[in-house]
Order: sequence, then C-alpha cells, then structure tokens
Amino acid sequence: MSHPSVVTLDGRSTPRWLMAGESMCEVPLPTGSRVVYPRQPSGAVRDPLACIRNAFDEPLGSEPLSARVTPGMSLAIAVEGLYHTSPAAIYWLGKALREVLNLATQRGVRQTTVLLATGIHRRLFTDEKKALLSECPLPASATVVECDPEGPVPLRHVAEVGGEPIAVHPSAAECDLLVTLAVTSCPEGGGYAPAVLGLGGFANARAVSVGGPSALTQLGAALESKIPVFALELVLDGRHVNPQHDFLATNEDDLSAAQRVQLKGFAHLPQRATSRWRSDAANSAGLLGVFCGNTAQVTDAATRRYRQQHIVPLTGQADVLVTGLPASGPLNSRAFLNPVLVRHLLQAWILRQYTGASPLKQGGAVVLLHPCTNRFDNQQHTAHFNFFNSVLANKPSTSEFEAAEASFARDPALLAMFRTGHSYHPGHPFLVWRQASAAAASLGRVIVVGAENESVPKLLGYETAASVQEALYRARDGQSRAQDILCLHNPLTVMCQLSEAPRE
Amino acid sequence: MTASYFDVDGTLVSVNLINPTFYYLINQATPLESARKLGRALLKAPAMMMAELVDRRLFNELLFSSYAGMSEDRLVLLADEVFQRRLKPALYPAGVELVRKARESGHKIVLVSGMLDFTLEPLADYLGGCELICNRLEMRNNIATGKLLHPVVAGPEKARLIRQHARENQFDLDHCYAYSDSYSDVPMLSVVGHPAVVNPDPRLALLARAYSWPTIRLTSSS
Repeated sequence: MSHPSVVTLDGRSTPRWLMAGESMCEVPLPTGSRVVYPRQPSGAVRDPLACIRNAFDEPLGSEPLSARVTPGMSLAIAVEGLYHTSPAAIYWLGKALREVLNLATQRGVRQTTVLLATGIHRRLFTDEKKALLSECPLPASATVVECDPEGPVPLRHVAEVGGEPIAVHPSAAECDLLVTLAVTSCPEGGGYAPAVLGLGGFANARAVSVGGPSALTQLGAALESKIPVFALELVLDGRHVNPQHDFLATNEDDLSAAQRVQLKGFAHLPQRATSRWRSDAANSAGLLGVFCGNTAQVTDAATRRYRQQHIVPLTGQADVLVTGLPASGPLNSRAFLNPVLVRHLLQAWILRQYTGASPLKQGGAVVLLHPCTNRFDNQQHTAHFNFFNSVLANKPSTSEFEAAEASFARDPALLAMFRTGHSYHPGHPFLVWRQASAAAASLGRVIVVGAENESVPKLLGYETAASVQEALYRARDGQSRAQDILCLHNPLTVMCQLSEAPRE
Repeated sequence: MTASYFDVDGTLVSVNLINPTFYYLINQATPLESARKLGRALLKAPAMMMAELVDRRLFNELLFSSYAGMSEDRLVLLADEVFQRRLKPALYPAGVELVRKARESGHKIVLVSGMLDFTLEPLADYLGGCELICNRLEMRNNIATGKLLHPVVAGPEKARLIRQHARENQFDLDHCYAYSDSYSDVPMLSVVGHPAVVNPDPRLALLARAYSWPTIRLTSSS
C-alpha cells in the first residue's frame, strides 16, 4: 500500500495543477502516473524559546553552552543561510541569536562579534538585518559584522586540507569560541556550511563545489580542529504553503468546490498577487526542532528530524519525472529565477532530494514545466547574466570554463557590486553550474514544456516540447512499453525515499 | 595587459568639477581678487547651467574660463590643498578599493576626467599612480588664459581618447573596463568590453539596467 502522500492516477482523476515559474498550469497525466504531495506539517514545538534554551543546556557531544561561554572570553557568533531562507527562518534565527547574546551578557563575555555569514552569497537587505537583529539585546561589547571575503581585510588561513588553505573571517579565526547558527531547510543545509562557506570566501566555496559534500565535511572538520565550535541548527517544517492555501498541496481529486474555485482563481491571478501569497506562505513555517553541540552530531540529528518531516516513501524508480519549478528558489530570494538558477534548482536541488536510490532511473527523462525566461536580476545576478551570455554562449571547453571562472572571480566591477550591493559573487554562477552538472551525471533528457523561447533551454542543454503529451511521447524514445511516470507536485518540500522492491 | 578607465567626479569622488574650482577662486592672492573672480564666475552660472543641459564640453569651457589670470605657480600650489581638503575627504572608500582590485588584476589605471591636470595629479599619486586623460589650461607667460587646450575632455571625446590610448598601449578594448556615473559618458562606456556604472544618474541607471551593466552603489561610508 502506498503512502498517503503518493496518489496514483486512474481514469477518473482530474488534471494536476503545477507551479511553472510565476504561473500555474493544468497538467493532464496518463493513468497510472504517481503524484507525490508534501506531507502535512507535524509536531512543531510548542514553546520554541524553551526548546532553544533546553538545547543549549543539553547539547549533543558537548558541554552546555553556559559552561563553554566563560567570563572575559572572545565570542564569535556566525549566522548563516540568511540569503536564501524565508522570513520565518530569519525570525527563528533571530530568536536563537537573542538567546546566545543573553547568555553572553550574563556570563560577562569580553568581546562578542555577530558575523552575518553570507559567504559568497548576497548581502542582506536592510529590512532582513532589522528582522534578524531587532529583538537582540546587543551588549556594549558586541559588534555586528557583515562578512566581506573580498574586502581590504584578508581572510585568515586557519587550516589546510590536501595542501589547500582554508581561510575564514579574522574574528572567527581569533575567537575563543565560535557559535554557528543555521537552518536546516534543505537536505544539505546547516552542518559545516556556516563555518566553511558562510565565513569563508570563493576559494572555500569552490573547493566544496568541486569536491562535493564530502569536501565540506573535510574542510569543516579541519577547521574545527583549530577553532572551538558550538553548532546550533534549527529545523523548520519547510512548509511553502500557508494553511489558508492548502489547496496548492492537496490531491486535486479531493478538493472541495470552494477550493477548486480558489485554485483556479490563484492560477489566473496576476503574477504579482500570487507572489505575495507565496511570500506570505513562507512566513508560516513552524519550528520542528533545535539541535546544539558538536557539529557532526548536530547535523545528524537535524537531518534525521528534517527527513522525518519531508520523506515520502516510494516503490520503484520512474522512467519519467514530471515537475514544475516555483518562482522562488534558494538563491533568488527577491529576484527572478534566472536560467542558470533554473538548471541549478532542478538538477542540484530537486533531483537530489532523495535518500537511498534516485526516484528516477539511470538515464531517465525529466519533463520540466517552466518558461525559462531570459531574464536576470540586475541587482543580484549580473554575474549570472554575463556568465550565461558571454561564457555559456561560446560553448567553452573545460579549460576555457576554468579560465573564465578565474577571470570572473577577479572581475573588479562585479566584485565591487558584490561588496557594496546585494549581488552574488562573480564566481557564483560557475559554482552552481558545476554543482548542477555533477548532480545530473545520470540524468537523461530534460524536456521543457512552456518555454518562452528555444535558445535558453538549448544553452542549458534541454529540449523543448509544445505540450506535456508531446514531451511524454518524446521521453518514451520509441519504446512501446508503458512509461512509469512520477510527478512531484511541490518539489521543494518533498524528499523521496525509495524502497528496493519493484513497483507492482 | 588591459586598462580600467575611471571617470572621477561622481565616480571616485562625491564632488563635481565646480567644487575644486570654487576652492581655487576663493583662495586667490588677496581677498579682493578672490571676490572679483568669484563674482565673475557667478555671473556665468546661468550660462553654465544651460550648457550643462546641452553640451558638456561647452560647460567645461565656461567653467574653466574662470581660471583666467591665475598664475600657474599658484594653481600648482593650491592643487595639493584642493586634494587634501576637497577631493580626499570626498573619495569613496569602496571606490579606492575598486581601483586597488583593478590594479591587482593587472589593469593599468587611467583617470579620464574633465578636471584639470594639476588638480588630478595629487589624486593620481594617492591612488598609487595613474595615467591621466584630462583637461589642460592654456598658459601664456605662466598665466592661465582661461581657455582649454584641445582636445577638451568631455562626452564623446572621452571615447575617442580612450580608443587612442588603448591603441597606443596595445590594449584590447574588449578586455578593458570603464566606470562612470553620468549619462554623458555613455560613449566612453560603450567603447570598452566591460562597462560599469557607479552611482548612476537616472538615465544612465535605466540604460545600465536594460543592458545588464554592473551597477555599483558607493557611499562615503562603504
């Protein structure tokens, strides 16, 4: 018997409504297709502040925070992941930060430095900083520092892995204790990312991009051998749907008449109005758990809790995966999802949201519902624009790609945008492109339905089709047997877990 | 080898051409002389405002006509004060960092400005040595005539001078950078492969957005 979140369509099933960028589209799927819906949010903690304090007092693999924060010490607090998290995540990080600062004040810490650890990602907007810090009682000795890995003060080398130096912000390198605060809102969030990526620069990020998750663990462990770290991770329910908008994550066959009207209204509303709804929805994420202490143990526990909420068990791999993409992904908060990020969101996030085996067969096809608009945010993604139009368009060889990467990473104009504005680091598009390529090693064709043009999908290495039916026909690739089709209804909030048993 | 061409007023410093000129005018040998020169300059203000709207080169010529009668020695003497009191405090820290990054990347730094050579020289030294493409006053017997030597550095002429500079130094313009804050510098920005705008005026901001040119916002504290 399948999980309640997996719906197998029959002859009476109505078409599904999937997000396709800033709009929604009605998708008729063949009988027998499986549609995966997100699990209902469960078990949000009742008293979050008590939960945070309790986690401080009973950490995993570490002394309580109150014992590690001593009078006269120098304390650095790194808050990571702010650039891609929802307002709810910033809210909860602010609460956790307040508790750490309260403790620092009580314990008579000599110097407290709050590091906004955005690494090579965009700096926070004023209102985001305000939301994070507004309730925090900053002691007189405390300073808030926005990490600037390209600034005049160089990062400090603290360790080496394989001959490559690991450098982090000087305040973190010199402190007596580094407290890292992060949110586990994705399969690989949190962990060593705050220290290695949030406090580091392009070199650290590139090493992780090339080496993958194991490189992050290696770098993080090396760093922790030099700097004492106390990690804190918050696990949110990752709900992208406000309870009032449950119809967006409900089996279309079970919708009431009122919900159907709401759904159609939502689908036909102006894009700006639906964007507002989506951002409202992100505010509703509840706190599922707080984990503190040794980074490795904290990551294990937080990941387990995250999976408890998000895992949907499946039986048997699919030939074709049908999915849309939401308008907002982890790297385009307050910006348009540009083509480079479309590829990254699909290949490096959605197709990697599983445990065990991939839900898609080796060489399987993806039918992607997205307009793939050739649009880039001028404030955040100028480097992505230049990458897409001046690097990708020339179909670079590996050596040309790396030469262009080195050149972009030194580009003075793009670096000035990164340092003084809200732009991503000029090397960022190369890293996300590489991550997406690595993740898609076993991926077959990607067929885009609803593309505004042919050129963007072509540069991304994708095909286009006029309809889902045409895309499914082409994905069949001349084979006569029935296709096993899997559809991710709300792809960012679902993590597939495949059992070995073949599908009946 | 490549080059970064920087406009100065509004791009690296927050003051415009009028600010240093005003300093020269009010620091003449006698208060009476200062008052006389300032008065004459103020009489030209309406014409300068009109010229600014129509032709940047004409504006420069009118503005620098106020220097007529000043001795070269005095101008050079005052240039250090102008830098210390007017230009240096108005430098954008992140702009200085931008110049440093460009130099680190192996770029030749060239200041392309309507400002006068003796005003820019201390700034060029402070920034670690830069080449100058700028205006020069005509001198007769060490006294400024108030006329500019040709070519007058403004608007489209900046683009021609950059092309000439790149040709003479064998720079590939496709790999060169240019930075400016003003729509009047679009020709200069357009001849290089990497144009970028700094604190752009509204018309330039729109253009930069349309063409996805990097837009850099600098503040006196950044």
